[in-house]
Amino acid sequence: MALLSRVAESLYWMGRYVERAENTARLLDVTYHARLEPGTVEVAGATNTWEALIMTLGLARRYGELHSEFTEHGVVDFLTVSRENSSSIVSSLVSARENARGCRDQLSSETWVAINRLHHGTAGRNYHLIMADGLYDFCDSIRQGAQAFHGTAENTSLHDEGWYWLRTGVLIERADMVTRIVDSKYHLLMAWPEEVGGPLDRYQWGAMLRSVSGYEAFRRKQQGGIEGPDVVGFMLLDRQFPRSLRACVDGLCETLDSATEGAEERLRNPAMRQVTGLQSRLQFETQESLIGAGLHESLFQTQETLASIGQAVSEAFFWAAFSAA
Amino acid sequence: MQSVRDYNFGAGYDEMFESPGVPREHCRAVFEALCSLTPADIAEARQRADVAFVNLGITFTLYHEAEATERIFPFDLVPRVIAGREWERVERGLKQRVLALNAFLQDVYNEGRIVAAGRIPAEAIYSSPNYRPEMRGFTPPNGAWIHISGIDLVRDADGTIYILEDNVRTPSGVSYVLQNRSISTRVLPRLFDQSGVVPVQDYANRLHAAVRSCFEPGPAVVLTPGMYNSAYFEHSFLAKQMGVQLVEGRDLAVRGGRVVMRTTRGPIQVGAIYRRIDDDFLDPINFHADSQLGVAGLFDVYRAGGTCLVNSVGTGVADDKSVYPFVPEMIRFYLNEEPILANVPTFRTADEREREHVLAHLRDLVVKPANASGGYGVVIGPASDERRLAETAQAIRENPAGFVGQPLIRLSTCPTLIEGSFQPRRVDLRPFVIFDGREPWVLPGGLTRVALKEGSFIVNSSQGGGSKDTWVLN
Repeated sequence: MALLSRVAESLYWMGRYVERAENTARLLDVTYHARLEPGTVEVAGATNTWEALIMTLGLARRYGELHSEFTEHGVVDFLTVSRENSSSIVSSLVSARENARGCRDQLSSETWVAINRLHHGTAGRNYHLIMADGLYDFCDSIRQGAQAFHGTAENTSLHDEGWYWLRTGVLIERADMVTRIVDSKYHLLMAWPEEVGGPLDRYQWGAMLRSVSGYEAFRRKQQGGIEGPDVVGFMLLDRQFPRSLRACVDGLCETLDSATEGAEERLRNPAMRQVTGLQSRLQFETQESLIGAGLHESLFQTQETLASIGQAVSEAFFWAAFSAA
Repeated sequence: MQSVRDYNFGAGYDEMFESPGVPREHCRAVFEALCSLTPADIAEARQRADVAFVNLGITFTLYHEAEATERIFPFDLVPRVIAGREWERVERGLKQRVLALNAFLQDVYNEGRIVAAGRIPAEAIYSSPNYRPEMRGFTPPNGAWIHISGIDLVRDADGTIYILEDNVRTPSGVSYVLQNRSISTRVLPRLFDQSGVVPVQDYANRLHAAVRSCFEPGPAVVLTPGMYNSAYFEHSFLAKQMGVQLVEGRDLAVRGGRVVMRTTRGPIQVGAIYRRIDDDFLDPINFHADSQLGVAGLFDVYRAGGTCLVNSVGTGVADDKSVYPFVPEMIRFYLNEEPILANVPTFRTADEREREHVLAHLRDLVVKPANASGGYGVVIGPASDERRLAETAQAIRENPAGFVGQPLIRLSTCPTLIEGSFQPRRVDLRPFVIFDGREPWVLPGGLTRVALKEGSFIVNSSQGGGSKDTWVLN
């Protein structure tokens, strides 16, 4: 059955918002708990960790409009429950649910229940309630809820076109986020050359891996120590780790191919050309070549490409497509 | 905690009990099962049902407050049980009524025989704002005007069932019937074991068949005003149950005399449209120009036979409260039968003699706006103070055609769980009828709405009503 353009767009954004909520929860959890380790604040402290987190998420301007200082209270509130931050966990889940409501007839009942649970579990919260139970519990419930959503969606939905649009949204968001995490942490850590190779340095790289659930996976693949370049290589290029950039882009390639199968070439090609281009580029990179050529430049370019894929998809298949057709 | 054995319903008619402590014959099994539940069982079932409703997002939206709020439609665990024999008569009465109303619509937009025969005054029909001159000379596919209707029934203190009103535009509530059933079987399986309840799950198949049959080329769709509409849950529920697309006006367009939907693979023709948008908002070219919900040119395609709208345009004239008093006459005129189900005696204030009667007996009567729904604007005489009555009298004098008066029906009660104990609360019943132009089909039971406030007569969800699962026994 043909899919409405509006519904395809809603599914795509629902996927993105759930993924955004989960990534924010992961980053927040790791940042908060890394901070509790003695000494780390001072080490990374030229930029305070809270500021670094806001920069990673690309939310510095919005945060600055609402707060003058980067405090724990301010940042945790801003990223969890603030309705004034449209990317906060609560705002993302509200948006995910609004999109889900708009295409509710396309979701399996269980998928709808999963997204509703996520929303109801967070909507009534405030900063003090969250901290009273512990930030870990809150972040954990978002992670679990998001995983329940992905699992339920995968195992109870038809794997038809709508499913592929949902996955496209998830994968674009996930790929974008991993580039942001690597970019910001890499520069934060490299700014303190005297610490490189020391215990605090190792601790920070470990925290970064944990923020994408990659710590144990990394240890299994790298029998040696935790070296910055190896971590970067793992998070960007590992084929087997499901949250690495390469795995996300491989997945995106496949899922976008399925979502647009049978569509006219002129609609399909712009997005497919870019995603396959990105995929083949990553195929022939190594951690040395990435870092050697300037990691920041390369990651920035990847973010631009991902945004441009999103744009191409939207112009060809979503709502805007029809003013032209 | 008070057991159902101690339930006391006072002087009226109770749906479950003949007299306090003595269940009606057909309710005996349910009564026994209810007696066997401990307070803990009931509390647990209550809890499970509440969680299920919230997680399933079975909600409606309220608008008359400062902001829109999503509410659960409160669900009462105690079922309303109808004996098979009584239902059989109700079903015949409903079929008869729908056939007559459908014939009436065909007539008033074409020959106008019933007016010519002097059986209904012309002004009752043609001065109704719900009469659509645009529909003159039109016959919808298969001659079906009213594919879906929800006809409200009430029972008076003497046990008589009356038709309170007909809803033949876009009646809502059927999704609650289906969801209530699925949740009550889940949380109170023991109640079902011995009862022989007629299933309701065939509704979506029947609906899909009726919608499809009126326009075959292209897939049927459900047209919703969107997710902010109060009945959006129902729209998406029905689309999903039927396996058809749920579309908004902006998803549709008119191309080359056909209605198409905008998909990721380009425009695709649609077949019949089960629209849950009022006539006024369907098409900004032909009706309200400022409608953002509709599809420009949709009505022209419909009139030219390029799609079918379900229900047809213009059906509102048949459920207008000023036309309601004449439905028994329609049954006699078109079907040559006597009405099986009675109307509530109704006084039209448009008629001078009847108006004087209403004005003289305001404190005993219920006054309703002729053209409104949802229980808004209803004035219950016995429950109103002098000032309210004076305002009502003034409103009637200023706009005689705008109201009708009816005696107050002492709605029957049903045991209802209020804070853990069984208390009498008033109920009505909205059965749903599907009509494909050949033979009406009635969903067994329907939506029982219950006024949760003690002594209240208003069962509407927008005004503190809840619902019950409705069991027809075979």
